[in-house]
Amino acid sequence: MEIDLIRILCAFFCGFGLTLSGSLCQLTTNNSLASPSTLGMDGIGVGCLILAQTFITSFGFSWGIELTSLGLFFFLFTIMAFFLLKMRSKRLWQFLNLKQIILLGLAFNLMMGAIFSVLQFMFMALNYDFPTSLWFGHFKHAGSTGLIVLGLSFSFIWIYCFRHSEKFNFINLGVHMAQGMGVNVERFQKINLLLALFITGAIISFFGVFSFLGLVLPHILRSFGIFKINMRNEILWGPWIGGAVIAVVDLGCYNFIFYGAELPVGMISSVIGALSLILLSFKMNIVRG
Amino acid sequence: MANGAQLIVNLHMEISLSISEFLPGWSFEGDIKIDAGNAILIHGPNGVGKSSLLQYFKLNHKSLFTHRVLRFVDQPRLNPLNDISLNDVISQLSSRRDPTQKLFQEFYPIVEDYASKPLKDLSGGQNQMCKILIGIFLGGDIYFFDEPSQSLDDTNIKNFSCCLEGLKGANKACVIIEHQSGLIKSLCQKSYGMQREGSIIKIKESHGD
Repeated sequence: MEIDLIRILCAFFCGFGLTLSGSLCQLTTNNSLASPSTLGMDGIGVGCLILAQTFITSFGFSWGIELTSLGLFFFLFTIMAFFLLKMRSKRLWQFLNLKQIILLGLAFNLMMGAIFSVLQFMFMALNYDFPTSLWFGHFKHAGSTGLIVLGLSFSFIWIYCFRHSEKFNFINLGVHMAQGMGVNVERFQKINLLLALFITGAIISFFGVFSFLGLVLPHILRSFGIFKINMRNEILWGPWIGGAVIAVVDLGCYNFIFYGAELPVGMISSVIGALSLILLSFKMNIVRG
Repeated sequence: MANGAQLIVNLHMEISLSISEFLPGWSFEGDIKIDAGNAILIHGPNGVGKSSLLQYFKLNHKSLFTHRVLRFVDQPRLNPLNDISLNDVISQLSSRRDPTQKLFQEFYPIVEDYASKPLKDLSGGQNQMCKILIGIFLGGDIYFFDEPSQSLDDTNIKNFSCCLEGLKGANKACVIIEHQSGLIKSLCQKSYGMQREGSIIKIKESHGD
């Protein structure tokens, strides 16, 4: 069995980040169907990839698609963060309580997917390069740049979560209970969502789309003892397990070639994640019924 | 105020509020007197802003209630993402427990039957009792209850009334928004009515209510 250490570490950090971002999305919205995939965060990352390729093709940027996409995403992220953190309207913020935001997020992702397909067709017809392979995330081109960016940024995010870990248990009981405990709920929710968005955008810039991993992994974690009743544990230690899972899955993809082709991890996650979303929706309807 | 002079901590607060924008398009005027060992009732028509008043207290408690610990029992049910139960919550919050608060042990038997069940699987009334017990566990100087009798059956309304008497006996102040239960209303020493006059929401002490 061959082992590429940088690739394994990149896969680990992707799993780590997506698990954490999924838990942050679900906790913040108090909705177990929330994830970067269902809230439209994947779409934003893909949009930056598309823009990056357009810039490279049109203006001859020499940074490479990863760094160009990351730069564009960071610019967009900064604007969104500034707007969101300064936004004061309580009515506008109540969108967090609406279930429709998940439908909107999915619709936005579908729209970005359609745009991706159209541009892919046009670019290839005109014999230009297009990052087709990034539609399903993979680690074939994992390098030290991605490892350093993800490793450093996710470490800082984890440290933030560690410092505020008690608040996650309070938020889990409800926003009103958390407010009563002295948590600035609105600001905490906004920061959590921005962190989830940052994680998603950074991963997509380097490695592509891993649909529904952020949805499925937190649910899997919550079926185990120490994560079942303690949201703090899920936020702090769950990502380490999520990272290990994805590293192992990618190790399998790397070493077991299917008729000469390597199966991307993102393709596996899309199939399993979409099925899981259907089963979860079904289960929630049964519980409510 | 019978207990006031005998207490180690004598809480007597008069809160005078005149908020230029309380809710969008509405301002608020009023005075509320809160005394330790007493319960006050806040009543008014639906949509007048009673819960919003509590929300205002919650968000501005540092300026309004200096050096007082406030405890809120709100309307929304506890609906955690995971399978946490009341016992798990108590365990996680143990570092925040009020060590002087003995009421929790006294009233825990009320919820003992379902204290190990996931909160999200409890009925509305059971969930409500868990919220009340969590508030008692954490302790505080002033308790705010927003429609505590919602979803409660007659037995649990009596249980809550006993909790209320226990809190008053422990020199806590209680502020209660209540529509339904005559029993809970009868335990309040003062009553304040909220009503809209034009674009102003006013709160005034009412008598004989």
